[in-house]
Amino acid sequence: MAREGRLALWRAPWFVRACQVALGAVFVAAALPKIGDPASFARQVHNYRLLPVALENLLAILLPWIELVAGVCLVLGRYARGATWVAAALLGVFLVAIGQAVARDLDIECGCFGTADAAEAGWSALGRDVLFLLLAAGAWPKAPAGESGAPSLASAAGEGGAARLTRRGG
Amino acid sequence: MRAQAARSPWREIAGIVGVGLALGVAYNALGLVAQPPYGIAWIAQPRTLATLEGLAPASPGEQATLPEIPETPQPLQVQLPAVKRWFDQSAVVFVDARDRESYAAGHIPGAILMPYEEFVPEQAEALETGGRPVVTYCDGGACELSLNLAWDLLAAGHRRVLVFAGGFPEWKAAGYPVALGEEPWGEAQERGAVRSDDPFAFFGVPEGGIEIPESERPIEAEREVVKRLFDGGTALFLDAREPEEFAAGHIPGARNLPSGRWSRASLQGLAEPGRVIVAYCGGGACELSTDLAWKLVEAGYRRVLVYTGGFPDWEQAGYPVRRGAEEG
Repeated sequence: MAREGRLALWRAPWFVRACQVALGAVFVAAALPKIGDPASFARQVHNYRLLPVALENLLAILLPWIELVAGVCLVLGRYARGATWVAAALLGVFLVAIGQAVARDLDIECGCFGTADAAEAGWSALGRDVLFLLLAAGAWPKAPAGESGAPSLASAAGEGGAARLTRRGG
Repeated sequence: MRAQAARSPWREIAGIVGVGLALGVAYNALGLVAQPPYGIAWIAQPRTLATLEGLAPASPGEQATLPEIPETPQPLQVQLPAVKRWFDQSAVVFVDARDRESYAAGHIPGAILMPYEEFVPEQAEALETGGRPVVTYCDGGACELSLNLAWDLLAAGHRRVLVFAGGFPEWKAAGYPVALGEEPWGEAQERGAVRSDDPFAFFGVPEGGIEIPESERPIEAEREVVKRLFDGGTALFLDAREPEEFAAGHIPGARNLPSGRWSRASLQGLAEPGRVIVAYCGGGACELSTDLAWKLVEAGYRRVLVYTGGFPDWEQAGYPVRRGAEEG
């Protein structure tokens, strides 16, 4: 029973919507400082030592805008499915970036929220990233539990197919 | 809406990423032409640096040639042989980008401490170079503090900024002079080494080698430091081993002070309080010199060094050795 109750919450439209707004707000808040100071963000990207140097500025120019668009979509609830995928994919990339910084024992700024975020790219940043990933799972648009019938079945099938497809692609 | 949401998310993903990319490109393109500009270069300049040519000796033993240092918009990388020659000629200003602890544990003599972690542009602007180029360094290897600091020095208006990529480890490994401690600002001022209005002026390479700061703890010193002090001739060397060991070989001029003679009274008459004292013993696990150094500090001396390598290290280096009991 309890498990079903949790599942019901997990699928409740208001819960999904709340997760979307929260995740979207996080992404907007993370994007704006980076957009305001691309040079500093480029330096933070450099410190991760993951990319060829030539690509660091391009990433610093473009990445925050993708974050911003995805965040705005989530907050507004438009194209939420695609926005959730984008957000989750970005969080996955950040997880790898911070994880390798921890593994290589790099003493660098997280840069997760731009220059305002002087926190170290360490375990706490990693934990925060995982929390946001959970938020993204909550924000994933699900067919409400109560719905049934042909349209809903079709939609569920489409949803599952898309998920598989993407997983293979990623 | 519902039918749309049920479709594959690829179209939405592509749309979001595409709009993001377009906005990013547009914003930066506008930023590059705006007044004042806020955009950044599309392609990052490699931050690994051009190396100033002609600075390495063609063959070992040959002196490095020293070309004119050009004004560049980018820091230039320089190698140890040239760095050493500039050091000998006091031709450059050294800036240490590491933190205070690393600096105090050993730095290039005369280097100005400017920790990159605490960097403020005012500090870089106040740096008085006397027209000389600036050489930044940190811990070598993957350390990029000196490189980051070099860019900030250029941004602050300095025109000739070099990065010594080998950093302090390479300098030390070559056996070049090393200075210890963090010179208190006030003392440097008293010595007249610093202009009163300029907290970051060049201290200059001290006469006769190494400047030992006053400290209420013994300072550990390695061979090269000890040798410089020995050559300087003003430091007092104390051998903490037993008389038999002392007689078998000691640093010339050293006084024998085995542990039976460490009473406060006898220690207080050894030297004037400001004199540099180097204590040593048998190196390795021998702690007599450290114990003696603490007694000396307790007795009021403020420039007490412990030669960690001790006599075996000295002998191994092929430095002068005297045998026999203490004279006088």
